[in-house]
Amino acid sequence: MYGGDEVSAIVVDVGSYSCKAGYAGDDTPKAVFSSVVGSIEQTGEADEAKAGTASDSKNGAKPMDVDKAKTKRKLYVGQELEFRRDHMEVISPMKDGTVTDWDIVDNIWNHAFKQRLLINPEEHPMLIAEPSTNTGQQREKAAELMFEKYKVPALFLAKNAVLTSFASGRATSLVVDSGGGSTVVAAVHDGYVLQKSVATSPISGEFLTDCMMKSLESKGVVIRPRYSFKKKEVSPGEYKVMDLDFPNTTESYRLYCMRAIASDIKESVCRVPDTAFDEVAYANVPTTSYELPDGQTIEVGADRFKIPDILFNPSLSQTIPGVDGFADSMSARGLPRMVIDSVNRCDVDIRKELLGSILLSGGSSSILQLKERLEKEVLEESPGNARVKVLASGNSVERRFSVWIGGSILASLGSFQQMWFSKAEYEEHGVSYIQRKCP
Amino acid sequence: MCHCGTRQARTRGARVRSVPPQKRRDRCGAGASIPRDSRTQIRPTPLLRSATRTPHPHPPSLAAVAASRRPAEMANAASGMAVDDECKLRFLELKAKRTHRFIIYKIDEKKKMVVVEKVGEPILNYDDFAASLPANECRYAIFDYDFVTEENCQKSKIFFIAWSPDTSRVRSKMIYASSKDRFKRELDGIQVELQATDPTEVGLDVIKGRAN
Repeated sequence: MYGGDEVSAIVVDVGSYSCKAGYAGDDTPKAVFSSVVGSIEQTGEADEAKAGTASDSKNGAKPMDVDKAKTKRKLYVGQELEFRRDHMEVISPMKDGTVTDWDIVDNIWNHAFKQRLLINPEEHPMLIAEPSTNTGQQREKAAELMFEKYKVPALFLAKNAVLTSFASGRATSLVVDSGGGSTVVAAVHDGYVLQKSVATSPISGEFLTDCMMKSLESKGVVIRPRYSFKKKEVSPGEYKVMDLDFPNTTESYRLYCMRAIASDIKESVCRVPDTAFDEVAYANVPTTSYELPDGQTIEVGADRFKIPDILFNPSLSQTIPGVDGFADSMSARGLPRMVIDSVNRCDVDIRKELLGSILLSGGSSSILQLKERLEKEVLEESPGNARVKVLASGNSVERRFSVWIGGSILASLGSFQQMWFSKAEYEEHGVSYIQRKCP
Repeated sequence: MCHCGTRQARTRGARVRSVPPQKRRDRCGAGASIPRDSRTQIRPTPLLRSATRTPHPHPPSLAAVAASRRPAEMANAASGMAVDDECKLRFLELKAKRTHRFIIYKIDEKKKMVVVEKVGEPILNYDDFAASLPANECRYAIFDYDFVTEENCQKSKIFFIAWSPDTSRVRSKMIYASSKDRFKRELDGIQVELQATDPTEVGLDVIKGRAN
């Protein structure tokens, strides 16, 4: 068992959109950076030199973004992604909410510890938030990496949905986590995620951002990525914009930069409509203006309401030119449908309680009016006498970081210190013991 | 039918305490035909829980079992908060001797355990209980609810309430929620469980509705 009161544990939550890392006990994560990384494929000549550095780095402090010889690529994490580089592709370690590329995750962790928090992972216990759908293999892989590579003294894995649920004071609840890459609905009962109730959908923040971007494009708006022009103040309040040309920029990086802008438009102007979106009724809504980085001002009208409504009615996205529909109709359910389906897959005794405590969390849950609309629609679809209540923290920071905050509090509790999966236990029982320590 | 069975048993107090729960039920004369009234806890959870937990691939060695006894019985991401013996004693008094109407528990973070904050006399009623829950802080509470059924039979039910108001601090919500499972298991004989974030969720109407 890992003991001592002054433990200063580190809490890490790698989401599909952003990675949150910081000290346990803090209110907000110290480091928040993008979960996608830039990658440049290496050409043949660099190979030999690289093989040398790779073996060196194994037994010493490993410099950041050193690539593994086998993958032959150089990764750029965090702020390094802000600079445009020739041939740099933007790739994500996650697909559908689960980790598919551990090498990238490894780089992200490394960046968080060495570049952002400036700590030595050998000295701090780690609490890692994992997706509710994580498989046993994934958790073992994470534990192995943490103990073998980072040599952490103790580790704990906690499920996203459980941390959110606890952070709002409930051991039993239905957690609706709408994040960047996916929306996950999971029932938590007495601190356990009910696996069969977990429903995921690709309709989430990034998808809405894409819809916003495509919709603007179809209306003739050109979003110019920030790197493609230079802006100079010629006289106070007057700017001169010069186009720059970088032929070697990859398509994925261009998209990444455009998404950053579209995402900001979405966050500033969007609002969930009170009732289902109707093209005719919303044709004359007042527009809101938004100034793009290059100085042009655009007017956003019906899209303000249409884009968020996709969360409730995914088929709406097909009316936007250039957005791919979903082949699988199951994955494209609206939010209220997902909630009802998820509740119905749970034991009949707890359904009432779940409907009475639906928790909203994740970045996309900050869209205005989402809570009210969800409550209304779930109420309409649920059995007559059910009492439906959607809870969300009034504070958007708390909503966005609810998973991390939950982990932060848990890891800082004096009484929690006996719960860690310690290095000694790892050495004695092996990696599969994680399944027992952190069920 | 004997609706008052549990009541008789409970008022006998000290005598009853030494009798295992199984026998206690027989004492009322109606034998095992009144499972509805029994104070034994009805738990739908074990089924669900075993389904969600991944079975361990290898049978653990004896030493491993001994070393891991405590974590194994704890919930996922539990806080590891201990429970003061006083909590159990007061609860048993409420259950068997009926010397309290309600008990309010709080978590003492310095002692790392759940302790009794307040007990209420049997003559107090629901309003006194509701007034004892602080508006901005989390608590656990036990409430002994007396009521009369449609068949005019005196009955009572023991409620467990996890009180975490929206206005309380995130930290305390987290501590109370993550310690709840462990604490609840110490109190054997809870019949109805409620979790509440505002006073309407522990309203008398809700309690009435759940009692039947």
